[in-house]
Amino acid sequence: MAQDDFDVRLTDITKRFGDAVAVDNISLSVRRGEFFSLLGPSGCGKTTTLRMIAGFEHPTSGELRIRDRVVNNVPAFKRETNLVFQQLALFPHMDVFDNVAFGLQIKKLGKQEIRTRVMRMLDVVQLEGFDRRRVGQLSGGQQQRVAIARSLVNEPAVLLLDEPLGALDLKLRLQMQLELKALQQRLGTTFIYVTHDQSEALTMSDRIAVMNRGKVEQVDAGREIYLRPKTAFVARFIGETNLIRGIVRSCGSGEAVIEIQGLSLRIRTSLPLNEREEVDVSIRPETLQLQSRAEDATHHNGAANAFPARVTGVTFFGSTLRYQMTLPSGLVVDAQRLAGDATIFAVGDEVIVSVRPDGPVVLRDADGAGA
Amino acid sequence: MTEKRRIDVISIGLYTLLTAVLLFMIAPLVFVIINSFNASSFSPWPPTGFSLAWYREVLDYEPFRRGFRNSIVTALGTTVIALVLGSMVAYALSRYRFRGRGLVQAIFFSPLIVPRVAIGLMMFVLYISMFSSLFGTTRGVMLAHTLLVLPFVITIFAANISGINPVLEEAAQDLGANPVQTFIKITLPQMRVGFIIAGLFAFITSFDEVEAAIFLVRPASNTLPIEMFLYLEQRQTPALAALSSILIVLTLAVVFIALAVLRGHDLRRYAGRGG
Amino acid sequence: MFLLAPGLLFLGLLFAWSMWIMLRYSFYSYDGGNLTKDWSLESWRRFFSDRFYWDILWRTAKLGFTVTAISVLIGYPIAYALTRIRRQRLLVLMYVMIFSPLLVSVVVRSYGWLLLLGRQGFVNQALTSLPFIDEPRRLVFNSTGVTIALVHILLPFAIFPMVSVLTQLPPSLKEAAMDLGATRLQTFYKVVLPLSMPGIIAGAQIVFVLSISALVTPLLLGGGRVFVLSKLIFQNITELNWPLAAVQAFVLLGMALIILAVFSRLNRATYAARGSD
Repeated sequence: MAQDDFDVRLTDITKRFGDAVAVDNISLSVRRGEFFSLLGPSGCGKTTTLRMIAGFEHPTSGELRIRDRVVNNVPAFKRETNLVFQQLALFPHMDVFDNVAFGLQIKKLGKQEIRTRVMRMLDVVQLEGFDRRRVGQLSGGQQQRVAIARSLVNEPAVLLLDEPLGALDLKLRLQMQLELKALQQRLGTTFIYVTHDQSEALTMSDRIAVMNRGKVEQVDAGREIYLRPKTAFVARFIGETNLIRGIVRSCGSGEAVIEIQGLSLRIRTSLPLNEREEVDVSIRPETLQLQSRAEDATHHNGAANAFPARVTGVTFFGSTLRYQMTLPSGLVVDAQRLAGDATIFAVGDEVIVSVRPDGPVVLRDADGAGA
Repeated sequence: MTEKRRIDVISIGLYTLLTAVLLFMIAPLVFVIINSFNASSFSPWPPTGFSLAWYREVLDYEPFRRGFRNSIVTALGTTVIALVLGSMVAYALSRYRFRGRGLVQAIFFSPLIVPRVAIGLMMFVLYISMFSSLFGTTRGVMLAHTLLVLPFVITIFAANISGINPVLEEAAQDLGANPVQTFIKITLPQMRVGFIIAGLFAFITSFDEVEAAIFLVRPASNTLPIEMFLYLEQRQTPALAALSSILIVLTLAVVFIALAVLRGHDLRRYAGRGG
Repeated sequence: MFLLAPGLLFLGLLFAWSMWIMLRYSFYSYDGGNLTKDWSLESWRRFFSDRFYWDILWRTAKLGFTVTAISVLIGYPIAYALTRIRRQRLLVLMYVMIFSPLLVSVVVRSYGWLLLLGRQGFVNQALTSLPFIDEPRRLVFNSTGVTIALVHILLPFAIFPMVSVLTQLPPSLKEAAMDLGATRLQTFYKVVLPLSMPGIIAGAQIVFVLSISALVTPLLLGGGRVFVLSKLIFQNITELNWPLAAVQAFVLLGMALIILAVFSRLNRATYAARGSD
């Protein structure tokens, strides 16, 4: 891919505050027109990374490019980026129009052009007729739209968003997520979105960078990150999972046998593993199948990856049910099934729990780090 | 129930005290105003008749006219210097974290603990021995007053600036404004409240101040309150009440105008800092 | 840092320099109405060896303590009552009334008290109309008048910081205390009062420093009877005894510093007690 196709490129970027390393030698490339998310728990370095791109922090080392120009020490006001702040930061002493027009007035555009562009942008964010309202009179969602319009009206190369939906209630947040995504697709602007909310990132992003302790753990499309996490941290941070430690018994031709507390599990994997190596296995609760033991008593011993277990807990989540199951070895795993399933189990039921070889994921990076 | 009854007693006591203190606070001013219309110059109470003669007399009394002019000049000068210096210092102190910040802060607040009389004397010896051209001038009084009000002005601005979200300044820079543009378009407009309150405070304090100024003036540069003080040492006629009433009304008018301008701002943030 | 430079320059030039010169003056000689720039400890010795000056020092401190105590005792309930008032317009009016003494010159205020408290004044007229008082009381030209006028002038300075602390007190704290079974009085003594201590102490500090340095009020309302340090300083200036005036100014400053330090220690002690709870 040509250089040109990247709007933002970070190479070996490190940021220290005194002795603390906020961002630890990360490299990222954000493609033109992409909706890119930085996802991670608080303190993982995602906001610092965003602020470096915006120009409010400067990298301690490494190279930061925006559209092929090295901008390491370019101040914020000379960059082709615009940031939608977490606290929105609307100017309280100006009305909606003046807020949105701010950047254009700084650029000293003609009055008529400013007016046209601001009005068009207010149209885009569905705030037509609100131009002379005071910022304080707007609802949370409307303020949100003003903040986005104020940034987008400048037609930035990259729009940066720092958890802008955090203050909204759940329903409005979901609606704004869809609106943001639609807006981004319509305008084709590159968005870099910082969030700690995995569902937000999964809903909107073309690609997600999962960050932890100043490092990037994985960069992939949301679906890949969910189905094929590369580290234990990613597996645990995105979605629910059973993370179990095991030992490689045999491996080869895209498949490995992992021993977990006396049970052998066949898992499809392309990782080059060694025998007797310790690994983590991530099993998503919804990949576990449950059968009544009586129903299938004769048949289960022959099937691969099928083990007896007892239901020790049931939790109802609306459309789904969560079963807690204890295996004879004492291993506890969670399984998730649809609440509408034909067979519903109760605490104390003896079951066979099974999983297809392509369900679990073997994780090499067995450092157990992360929350 | 008994609990409830006791509370009512407490509340009644509290509000009675409040009313009494409020009356106590305005009593001298009220009696000054009443007495300004008193026809007799001897018996302050009860007034013996209605008269506007004292107002006429006061307005024609040359020392008061000169004192008024001097006070206005002094107070305006003090206000301008204190606002310029104070806003800069307060901005630096509340926006930047640097080494020795605590020390710098302590230095700027040190005039606060020095008794005004001592400040007056200090300025007096300074002018006498170093800047003899400042002694007995309105400029000299102006500088002393700036020293007196600066700590208050700084705290008022600091309260003001701490209420301005620094993210707003970042937002302006993000939208392309350089630091100077950011200050002019974003920070300064929001410091409006600080300028009004601090300016009002500096002006009124300087206009009314006697205890430091009295060491620094010569007859030609006497401020109005000093002229009033000298007058009062000689005689106690309702003329002084008339002059005081004019000042009370003028000041209250200015304060109410300021309150109207500031309506909607939470002024309690500044309580305990501006005093 | 160019923001700080003009302020520091101003302060350094005026404040530090003038204090230095005043210090030098306190060591100059004064002899029979003549000031000479000969180094001498005479003024310091004279001040501290003369019982008269010790007596004045004591009176000044006593006046300061009395005014401070009264201002805090009256000011605190007032501040508390003000925080309970919900009607904005009423509140603004009350604030204007309370702070009205600050809006007019100390000369006007003192004059008002002369009118009220004088022999022919309203208070005495009211008192003598009572059946059991026939003689007007002496209320001015003594320390009573000075104390009343100083409390009047300084009360706003006590109320300011106390209101500020009380309004910042989250209502949930009071509710929590009552939820845990404390009565209103217990809540007040165990929660509200300790937490508002910094405001009380700050108010006391300001009032004390301002009351010991008051000059106009003792001059006008004290007549020839009330002697305080600030009056002596003023007198010595006119008598050209600047070295003694300088010494007295330093003594006054020293008294202010000692009291401020004691109060700050108190303040830290209450904070420490809170921290260990």
